[in-house]
Amino acid sequence: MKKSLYFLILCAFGAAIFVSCNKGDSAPNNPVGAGGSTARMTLVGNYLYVVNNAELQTYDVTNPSQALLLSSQNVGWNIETIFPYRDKLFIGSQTGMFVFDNSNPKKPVLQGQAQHFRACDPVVADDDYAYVTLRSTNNGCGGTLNQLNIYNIAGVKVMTPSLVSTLVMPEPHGIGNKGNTLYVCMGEVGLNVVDVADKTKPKVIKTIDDDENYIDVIPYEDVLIAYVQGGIVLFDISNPVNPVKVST
Amino acid sequence: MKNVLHCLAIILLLTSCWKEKHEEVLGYAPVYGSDTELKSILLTAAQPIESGGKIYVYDKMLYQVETGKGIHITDISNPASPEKKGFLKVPGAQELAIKDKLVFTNNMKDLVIVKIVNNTATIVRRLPDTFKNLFNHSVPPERGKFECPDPTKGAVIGWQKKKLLNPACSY
Repeated sequence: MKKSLYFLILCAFGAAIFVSCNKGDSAPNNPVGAGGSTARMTLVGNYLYVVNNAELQTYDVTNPSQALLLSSQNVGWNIETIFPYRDKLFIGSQTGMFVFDNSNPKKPVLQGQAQHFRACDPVVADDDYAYVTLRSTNNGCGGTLNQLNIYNIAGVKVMTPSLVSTLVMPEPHGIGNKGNTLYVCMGEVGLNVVDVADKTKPKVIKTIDDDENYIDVIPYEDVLIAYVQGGIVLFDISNPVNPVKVST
Repeated sequence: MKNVLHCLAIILLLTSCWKEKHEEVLGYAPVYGSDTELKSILLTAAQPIESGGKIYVYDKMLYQVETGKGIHITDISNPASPEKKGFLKVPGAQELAIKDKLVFTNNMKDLVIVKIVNNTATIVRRLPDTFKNLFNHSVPPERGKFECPDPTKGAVIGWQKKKLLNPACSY
């Protein structure tokens, strides 16, 4: 009896996720905003989410002059990043990734989490997968890992994201994705362009190794905005696998 | 004999005191700023990017934090020639998010919402101490001895490593 009830709940959950996924593509005419994978603050509609050291804070900013804190919930220690995707919020901490469902934007609810070894870890995501970079050589993050992790978060999997594959690379920092192409910053080592068409076998297509120190990226339509030490670099990514530098 | 021991003890105590008074150590000293200066947010002409910081893009405008100082605003509608539009001076800035004409950022420990209209920046909302756990300057970034902050000199906005003469605080 208990088991079937649990199954029913799972199904309901799955259905809810499925339904909510389909409403994400609305309002294409509105200007689009996007932050990087190392952000601590993000906007979704009329709600602002802030990750402090240990908390996820939700603010209602419908009326900016009266913006107010709606809730503050404890997530875990050493939270570093927040990334919104459709009706989910992905939170990266030094010990794991947390996925919140924010189909009710006033009150995000923890759906699942994946623990990993101690490291810094920006997160980005698409419908079915979350991409996490782990970096050890950082001020105070600890750990010994330098790699990209891909987690399956499709449907009910979101409750217990499972590690699909790992790709070792030097010093991965911020990440961004456009379709099946992933852009991974590696500090002074450069910018990795990774093909993730096969999630079980991510492979590096090319490494852009110039004099820049790559920290984070935002793919924005056909432009890849790279935050480098000392400023920005813009790439044309109309062909995603072949970024062409257009300005610095 | 007992007297001699007492005497020695006193001498030892004295010398150790004497020594301590002249102890020079490498530690942190507070950097002060005036409260009004720290809370002033204004839009200025474009500035060169020094070290750069986090980025946010909205409606083909790119916003980049200049860590601790403010936000660069650049028009990237033509990616081949980005055009610097201005610099929003925000003391302590590290984080940002943008929507319409609104800039959400941190002014030191406070969350602020700044509206930019007709080249003028106005603070529409300030929520104090939102980032108090994050940007806490009440103690130096590393453990050890440090110079005790003097509240009469203003608010502590950061710490500077230097040689200190017998600092009284430690953690």
